[in-house]
Amino acid sequence: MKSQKYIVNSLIVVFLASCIIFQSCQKINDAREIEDIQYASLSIEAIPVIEEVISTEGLRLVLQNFPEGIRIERTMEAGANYIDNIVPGVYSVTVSGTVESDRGNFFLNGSANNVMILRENETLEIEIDGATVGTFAFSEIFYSGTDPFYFRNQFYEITNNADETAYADGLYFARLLPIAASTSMPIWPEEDGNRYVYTDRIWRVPGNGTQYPLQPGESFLIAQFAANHRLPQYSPNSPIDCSKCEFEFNMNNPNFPDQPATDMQHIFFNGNVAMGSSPQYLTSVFGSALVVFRVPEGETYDPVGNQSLQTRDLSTTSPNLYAKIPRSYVVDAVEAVQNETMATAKRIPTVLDAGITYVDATYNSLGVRRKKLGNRNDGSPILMDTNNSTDDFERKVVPQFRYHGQGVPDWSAAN
Amino acid sequence: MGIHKNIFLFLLPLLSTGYANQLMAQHQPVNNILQWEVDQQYGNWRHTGNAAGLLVDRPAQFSALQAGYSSQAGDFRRPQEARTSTQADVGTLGNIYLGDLYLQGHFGYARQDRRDAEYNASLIDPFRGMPYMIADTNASNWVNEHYRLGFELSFPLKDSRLQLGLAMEYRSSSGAKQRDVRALNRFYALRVSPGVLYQIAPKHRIGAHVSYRNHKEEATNRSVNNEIDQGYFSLYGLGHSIARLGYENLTTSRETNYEADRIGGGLQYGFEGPWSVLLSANYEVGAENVHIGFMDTRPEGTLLQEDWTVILALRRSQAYWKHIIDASAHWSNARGSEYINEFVPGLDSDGYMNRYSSVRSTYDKSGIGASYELIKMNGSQYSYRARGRLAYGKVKDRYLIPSSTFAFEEMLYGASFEKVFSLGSAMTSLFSIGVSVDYRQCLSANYDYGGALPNSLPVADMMARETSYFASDFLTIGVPLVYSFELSAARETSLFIKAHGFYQRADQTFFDHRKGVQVSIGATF
Repeated sequence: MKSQKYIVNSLIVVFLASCIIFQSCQKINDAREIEDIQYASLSIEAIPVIEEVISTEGLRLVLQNFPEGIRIERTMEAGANYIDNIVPGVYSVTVSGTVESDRGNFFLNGSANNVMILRENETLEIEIDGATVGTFAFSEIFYSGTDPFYFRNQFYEITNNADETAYADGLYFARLLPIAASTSMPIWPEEDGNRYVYTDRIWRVPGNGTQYPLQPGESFLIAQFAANHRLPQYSPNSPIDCSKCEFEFNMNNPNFPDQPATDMQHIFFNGNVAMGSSPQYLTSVFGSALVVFRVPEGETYDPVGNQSLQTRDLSTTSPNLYAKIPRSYVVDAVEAVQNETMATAKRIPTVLDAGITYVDATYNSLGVRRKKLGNRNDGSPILMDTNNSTDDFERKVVPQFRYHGQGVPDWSAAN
Repeated sequence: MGIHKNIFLFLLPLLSTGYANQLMAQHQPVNNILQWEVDQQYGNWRHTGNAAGLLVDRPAQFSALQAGYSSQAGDFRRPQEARTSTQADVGTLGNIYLGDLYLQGHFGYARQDRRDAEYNASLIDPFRGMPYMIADTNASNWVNEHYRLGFELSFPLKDSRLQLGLAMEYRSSSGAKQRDVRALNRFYALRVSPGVLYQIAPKHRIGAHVSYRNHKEEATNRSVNNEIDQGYFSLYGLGHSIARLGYENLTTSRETNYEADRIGGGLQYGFEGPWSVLLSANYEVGAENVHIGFMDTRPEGTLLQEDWTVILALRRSQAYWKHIIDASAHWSNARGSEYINEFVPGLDSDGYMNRYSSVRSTYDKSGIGASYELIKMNGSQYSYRARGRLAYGKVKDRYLIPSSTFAFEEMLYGASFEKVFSLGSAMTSLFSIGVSVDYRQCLSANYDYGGALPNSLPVADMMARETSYFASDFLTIGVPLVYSFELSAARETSLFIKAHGFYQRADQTFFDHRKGVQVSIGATF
C-alpha cells in the first residue's frame, strides 16, 4: 500500500516536471522560430479627390518612424512610387504640396498614420485632399504652464491671416479628444465616416457679427485666466501677463474671479449648455488638439439641441456625451503632443493638420509659435499656413504676445 | 500544500535510503576556514553542476556561519554600476554524511545599498544580459535584498558504481529606488538539477546531468512627481532606444515583467590516477520574455540565449604538495527579438495585438582561460599557496537594422600568493596574509552606432562611457587577510576574521580608480 502511494506520488512529480519542461521548451521553441529582421519595401500611390489635382507628380512624400527617428523623404512621381530598404516599423506617411488654382492656393495633404510597413512589397493608397488657407490661424499657443505646477497662464493667440477684414464674432473654439495624445483612441460611430471631429467642450467668441473686427495681420488673445500671472499670489516666474488678453474662459471659479476680459460664450459640455463643475478650462499641459471653426452662413449648429451632433465614446461604457464638429467647418487646427514619438497618436485628421508640434516637457514656460512667411505692403505679417504644424510652427519658444508684429484691434483693451 | 506534502514524502524515502548503513563521517573533517577553502577548490566534480559527483569528491564534513560587511567606491565603473555600494550579509553552510548518503546545504542573505547608479529603472541586476529595460537619466540609489537557499544531495543506488544526485537552489531578491522614475522590483529564481554518475571501470567514471531553471522579475515603475514629467528611455540594445515622457495616464504605473526558462545538461568524464582528471561539457539554452503591463499586456522583447562550457580540471595531491590546474572555455550566443504591436480599441478587443516580430540584435561572447595553483602542505594545513592565471575574452554585439556594433577583446593576467603563519606551537591559531595582482589588457574595443539618434543620451553618454570602460587597461591589487583560532579541539570549533581590500586603477584619463574593503567574522564547527 505504501509502495503504491509512493509510486503515485512519484508519477505526480514526474508529471508536474514534464509539464514544466514542456512549457519551457515551448517558450524556447517560440523564440527560435523568430527570424532575423529584413528590410521592408512599399509601393505607394497618391489618389487625388479634388478636381484641381490631376497628377501627384512633384508632391512631397515623407515617411516618418518617430520612435526610431527615421525619416524618408521623396519627391513623388506619377502613379505608384516604390521605396525599398525601409526599416520595419510603424510609420506616419504624408503626401503634401501646393497647387494654384482659380479658387486660390490649395495646400494638399494626404496622410496615413500608424501605417505598419513590415515586409517586402507592402502597398498603400493615400487620398489627397486639399484645404484652402483659412482666414484665422492660431499664431501662438502656450499650454505647458510654469514651474512649479502653474497652469493658469495658458493662452491662445489667433491672427487674421487673410488679406481682408475678418470678424471674430461667432468664431468657435474647441479641443479634440483624447485630451492628451494617446495611442488609446476613442471609437466614434461608424456611420459618421470621416465627416466629423469630436470634442468635450465648445466655446464661442460672443458678438453681434461685427463687434470684433480684425484687419489683415491683427490678432486677438484668449486666456484661460486673463490676470497678471506675475503677481505674487499667482506665478512670479510666469513668462507673460495675460491681463490685457481680449477674451478669457471664465469658469466662475471664486478663487480665480472673473477678470475684465470679455468672457467666451460657453456652448456645450456633456450635452448641456451649462459649464459643469470644473474649476477651470484647462487644456492639457502635454498639448491638445485645438480647432477654431465657423458655421457657414445659412447653416445652424446646435450640438445641445440636435442630438445627431452628440455621441458617446463607444470604446467605453461611460455615458458622457461629446459634440461632433463637421470637418468642413474647421478654419484652423493645430495638433500639440508630448514629444515627437507621439506622432502616432494624432487626433486631428491630417487633411486639417498633417503634422504635430510639441515643447517636450510640462511646466517649462515654453510654447509654440507659427512661423512668418513675409510681410504685406503695410508691414503686417503673413504667417506660414500649410496645414502642417510640424512645418508651420517653431517649437519651445518663450511666449510673447504678437511676436511677429501683429496689430492690436481697435476694440482691444490692450490699446 | 497537498503537492508540497507529497513531494516531501517522495524525497524523504530517498534521503533515508542510506540511513540503514553505518552513520559515520566518511571524510577527515577540516579544522578551519582556510583548510575548507582548499578542500572546496580541490574537489573536481563539485564544479560541474552534477551533484552525483559530490560523493566522488568526498567533501570534508564542515559547517560554517559567517556575517560580513563590504564597501566599495570609485568612479571607475560602468554607467549602470553604483558609484558607491555597501553590503551587509550573513550566510551559513553545512554538510553531513548519513551512511552512504551525502547532503549539503546553504543559506545566505545580503542587503545592498547602491548609490548613484544610472540608466536603469527596471532591473535589480542590469548586467545579467537583458537588453530590454527602462533607463532614466537621474542617478539613483537602490536598496536591494537577496536571499539564497539551496541543497545538494548524492547517494549510491544499489552499489557504489551508480550514484544519483540532486541539486536545488531557490533565490529571491527585491529592489527599490526612490527617485523618479521610481522602481519596485521583485525577483525569484528556482534551479533544479538531477544527475547520475556511473563507474565504468575502477578508475573511470562518466556522469550526466540535466538542469532546469525558471526565473521571474517584476518591475513596477511610477513617478510620484506627476506635475513635472521625467523623461526616460526604453532600451533595445547597443544604445538604440525610444525616448518617452512620463506616462500616458499619470495615475497609473508601468509594469515590466520578465519571465525566463532555461534547460540544459552536461556530460562528464573522470579519471583517477596519479592525477585526478575531469573533463566536463555543459550546454544550456533559455528564453526570456519581456512583457509590459498586466492589463492590455504587450510583448516588448525576447532574449534567446545558448551557452556552452568546457572544463578540464587536473588535481594531484602529494605528501607536501597539491597541484590544481583548471582550464575552461565558454561560448555564449544570444539573440534579442523585438515586437511591433497595435492597440485595437473597443470593448470586445483584447487590447494589443502583435503584428510583427524579428531578431534585431545579437550578443556573442567567448572566452578561454587557464590557471595553475601550487599549495605547499604542512600536515593538514597549508603553508602557502601560489597561483597564476591567464584568460582571453571576446565580445561582439550587433544591432542588425540599422546596423550598430559593440565589440572588444581582452586579456587577463593574474597572480596571487598567500602565506599562513602559526601564532602558536599547536597551530590552533593561524594568520594568513596574501596579495593578488590582476591586470586586464584591452586588445581592442569599438562602438559604432548606425541609428538615427546619435545625440540621444543612451548613445552619446551611456554607450560612450560603457565603451570607455571596456577600452581601459586596469590593474587590480588585492590583499586578503584571515585570522583563525580554534575554540575547542574536541568540538572542532574555530572562529575566524577575514578582511579583503582591493584597489583598482585604470590606465585612462577618463576614469580614476575604484577601491573596496570586505570584513567578515564567522565560526566553523
